[in-house]
Order: sequence, then structure tokens, then C-alpha cells
Amino acid sequence: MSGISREEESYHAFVTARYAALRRTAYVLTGNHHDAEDLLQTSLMKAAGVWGRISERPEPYVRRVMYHENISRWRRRRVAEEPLGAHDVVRDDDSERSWERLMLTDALARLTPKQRTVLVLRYYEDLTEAQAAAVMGVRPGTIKSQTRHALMRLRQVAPDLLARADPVPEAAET
Amino acid sequence: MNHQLSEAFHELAEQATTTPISGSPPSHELWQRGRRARRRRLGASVLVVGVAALVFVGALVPIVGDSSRTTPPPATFDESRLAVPDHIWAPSSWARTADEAHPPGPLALIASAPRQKPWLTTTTEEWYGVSAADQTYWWLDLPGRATEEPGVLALSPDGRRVGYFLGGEPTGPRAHSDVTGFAVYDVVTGETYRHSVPTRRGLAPYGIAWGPDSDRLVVSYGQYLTPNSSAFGPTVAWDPYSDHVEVLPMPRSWDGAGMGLGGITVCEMDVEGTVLVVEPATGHTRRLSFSVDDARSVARGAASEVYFNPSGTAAVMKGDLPLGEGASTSGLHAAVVKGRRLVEPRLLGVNWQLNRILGWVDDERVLTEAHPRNGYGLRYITYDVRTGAVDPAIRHTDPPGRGLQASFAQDLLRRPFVAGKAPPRPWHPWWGWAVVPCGLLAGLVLSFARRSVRWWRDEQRLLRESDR
Repeated sequence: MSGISREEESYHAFVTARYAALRRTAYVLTGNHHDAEDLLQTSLMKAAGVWGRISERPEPYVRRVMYHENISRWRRRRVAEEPLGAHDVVRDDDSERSWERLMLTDALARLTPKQRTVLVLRYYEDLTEAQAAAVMGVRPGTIKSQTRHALMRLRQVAPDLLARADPVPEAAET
Repeated sequence: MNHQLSEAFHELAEQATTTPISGSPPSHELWQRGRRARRRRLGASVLVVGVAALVFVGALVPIVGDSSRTTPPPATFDESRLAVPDHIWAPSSWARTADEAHPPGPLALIASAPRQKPWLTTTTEEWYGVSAADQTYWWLDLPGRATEEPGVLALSPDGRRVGYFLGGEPTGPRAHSDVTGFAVYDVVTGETYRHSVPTRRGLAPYGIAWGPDSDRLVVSYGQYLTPNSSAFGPTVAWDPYSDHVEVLPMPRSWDGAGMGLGGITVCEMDVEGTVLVVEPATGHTRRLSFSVDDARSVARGAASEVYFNPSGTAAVMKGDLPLGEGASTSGLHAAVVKGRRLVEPRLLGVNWQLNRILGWVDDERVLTEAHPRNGYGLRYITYDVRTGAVDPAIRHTDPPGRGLQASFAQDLLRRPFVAGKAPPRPWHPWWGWAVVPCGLLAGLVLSFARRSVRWWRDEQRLLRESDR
């Protein structure tokens, strides 16, 4: 590209290279394509504002913005959206969709964004409690309790999904 | 770890790829929007700071501007409409203030009332004046007034000048008073005339009064020797416009002077029942006397404040009011003037205790400040020296437990009283000019600071975490 700065050039390179991966995380966080796209673009836009400081390692910043933005967007809306269950899910691959995935999508939609984000950090990003706590800016005990509450909630709304899962840890809240 | 959940998440994540991205990621647009948002945020910050600075300056200008206002012309008024109001109120602490730049015009009366300073919650007793032209209320911030003798003030009979003791620095090393002279504030022109008296430890002010022509201030003072004693000084008549001072042949100490027969009057009842009438302009002195028996019946050693009526045919004075069983208080005595003799003394209004004589309303009625013999509360009442009748004259509404100490322009007492006007109750002066803008400013700054701190904290945390 001509007429663009080196900063912008590196930004374009990063977005092109990591857009798909980041979109997957955004989708897991939000549960639908539209919100995922919105969340990702907002996070990338914020990253552009501070690109001079994060250009060396931009992805951790973008991911953290996504986690926080996902929670604060829900706070700004104030009114929790009522999930429509399977109707809210894009059905572009009905033939290959497993029953479990449908249940998980539906169950995740019934969690709060914070609970969903914690589960994503712990079971999708495979972070430890301490790492997840560092990302969220809270204490590890909070992550532990949020995880426990989220799993309990999942058991309630999708008992079959976690039927074969390990028991919910009864860790003390801190 | 819950492997099933982890696998389900990864399977779910793969669904994100089932909706293909239309074209390449909008990185160029995101870059532009991101940079634009950052510029907007910076611009908003600059704007908020600028607006805050403007509001702050706007709030300061009226406060600072007070000291740089130009001197207005002397107060204008209709001479024929000057009168004393029939009702007095205590003014609001935020009433207008009379000073050299803002003369109120002729005053019908001066009195004291509690006043709160804008920056304090406590009150102090301060003097105010009521305009004889429009019955408006003005606090009197008299230039250079001594702080240690706040109760000594004199309004001229025509209501156009206020005499007071001047404050300053005595020349000696150990001052016992800050009184170093006397001054006159002209309420029509706003000018102040000062006369300093050399003193090493400060002056002890005894009395201050105006001559009947309103052109000379008569002052009695001494020189402090120790904190509790002072050497008697002279009584002087001072012409503030020529700064001419003349020593008067009067007692070395007096605190309550009366008026009449062309001069100021001082009672010497403790000597031989004599009333001195001194013309301030010339120093000419006359003596009028009671008989010894009459003097004893009037005063028994404590008479003062003799006022002669306009025609010079009668006099009233503060004398003795027996309460029985040897006790006594102050009452109003009247006498007839016959040549150099005061005859036929009699006690008026036995149901009233006299505080002060304020002046003659006409040739037969005299206005006084008194309170009921068996009750409380100051009243402004007139005594009729011919019939002895006592009538209410001026009502007042002031805070409980506070004395008015009102002094009236005696020349104006002889005109019909006019209906008093209740002074307005303005809001705290800082409410409009400082409190509202500063409150808004504080709210704005706090809101902005809160948002900025939150944003900065999030930003820093994200940056910090992303560096790990």
C-alpha cells in the first residue's frame, strides 16, 4: 500500500493475519456472528488508537479488550437480552451441527457475559485461575467463584451437557 | 479440567468460520476510525479543560471586578421626600454595602444587627443605615474604622454624615487600643475625612456627637496609660471639611450628649444640677440650672442626655425612675425652660424604663427608646411632655435578643414618618457568581476526571497485561 505509515502497515498485517482467530474467540464470547463481528471490530478499533504502544505484541491487548468490552457492552445495555434459544443461532451448517454444540450455545446465552467470559478464559483459552484473574483484573478467588457459579448455571440450563463432566468444585469464595 | 466443555467450546468456535468473511478484514477503516476516535478524545479533553477554565475565569471576574469599579457620582435624591420610616427591619447579611464607591445618600437612621460574612457561618454585630430617600437598607463598611470601639457611631442631624473613631497603629511599643483618631463618612458623596491624633498606646474614646448644624463633629477622648486606665483628654469640635479642630470648654469626660438651644448639651447633675449648652462652632457656653431640690428629685447623681425642644421652651432628660424600696432605674423627666432656670421637673411615663432619648418629633413630643417597666423588648415610643401620653411611634422587626442601638437623623424626625419597606432577602452572593459556576465546574471536572481515571486505568491495565 502506498501513502500509509509503517504503523498502519503493521496494523494491517496483524489484522489480516489474526482476524479469523480473533473472530472465533469473539464468537465464543458472544454466541452469535453479528455481535462477534461487532465486538472484534470495536476491539481492533481501540487497538488502532494505541498502536504505537502495542505494535510489538498486539494480540494480548486485543484479546483483553475483547473480554472487557464484552462485559461492559452488556452493562451499557442494562437490559439483558432474552435469548431465543436455538432460533438465535445461525443455522448455516445444520447438517453438521452436533446436538451438544446447540445445547452449549443455548446454555451460554443464558449466562451473564462475565460468567461466559470466565468460562471462555478457563475452558477455551485454557488459562489457569491466576492467569484468568490477571486478564480480568480481579482476584483468583473471584475467578474461582465465578467459574463455580457459571458451571452450576450450566448444569441447571443444560444438565445433559455436563452429565459426564467432573463434579463442580466446591472451592471457597475469596 | 472439564475436557468435554473445552471440546464443546472449540467445536463452537469452529462454527465462527462457517460464516465466511466477506472480502478482506476492514483493517483500513478500523485504523481510520480508531485514530479518529483517539483524536476526538484528545479534542474533547482540551475542550473540557478550556470550558472549565472559562467558567472559572467567568466566576472570578465579578468577584475581582468589585475592587476595580469606577467611582459613581454622588447619590441623588429628592430633598422634599426625605423621611424616617415607621417600621425597621434587620437587613439581610447580603444587603447592599455602602462604602466610598457606593454612597447610599441621606440616611434616616443607623442601627446595628447581626451580619454574616459570605465566607463565614458565624455572625458579628455590625451597623447599617436606612436610606431617608427610598427606605433601602445599606451595611456601613466605614473606611478605616477602629475595630476595638465598634459601638461608637454618630449620625448627623441631617442624616448626611456618619462620625466614628478611626483605627490605626499607635506610635508606642505597647498599644492598648487601635483608636488613633476620628473620621466622617459623607453618605451623599462617599468621601471620607480623617483626623489622626498622636498617641503612643491608643486613644480611649469617651463620646462622639454632632452639633445641631451637622457641620462639626464633637469628640471626647483620652490617652491610654495602662490597659485599664487612661488620662482624660479634651473635648474637641472638628470641622471635617477644613480639618479645623477646636477645644471646647466642656467636662473632660462625657458619654451621652444631648442637643438643643443651638448647641450640644451635657448634664452635670452630679455637681449642682447644671446643664451645659455648648455651641461647637464658636465654643460659646451657656449654663442652665435646676434648683438643688429639683436636681435631687430628677437625678440623684445620674442624669444625662438633655434635649431641648425646637422652640427652646422645654427640656427632657434621662433621670431617675424610683422602683420602690430604694431601687431605681432610668426614666424620662421633663422640665420647663425659664431663662437660665429649669423649673417644674416631672417624671413622665412611669410604666416605661428609658434607654435613650432620640430626638424631638415636634415641640411637644419626644422620641425615645424604652422598654416596659414590667416587660421585655425595646420599643420606639413618643412621650407627650404636655399631656404625659405615651404612644408607639416606630415598629421594629429584628432578631430576638438583639438591641438595635438605633440613632435617627434628628432633623428628619420632625417630618411625617413614611411607611417602611421590608428589605429584600437576597440569596447568598456567591450562589449566583461562584456557587453555581463552581458547582457546575466541579461536577464537570469530577465527571471528566472519573471517566478519565477509569479509562486510563483500564488502558494501563490492558497494556500491562498485554505486555506479560
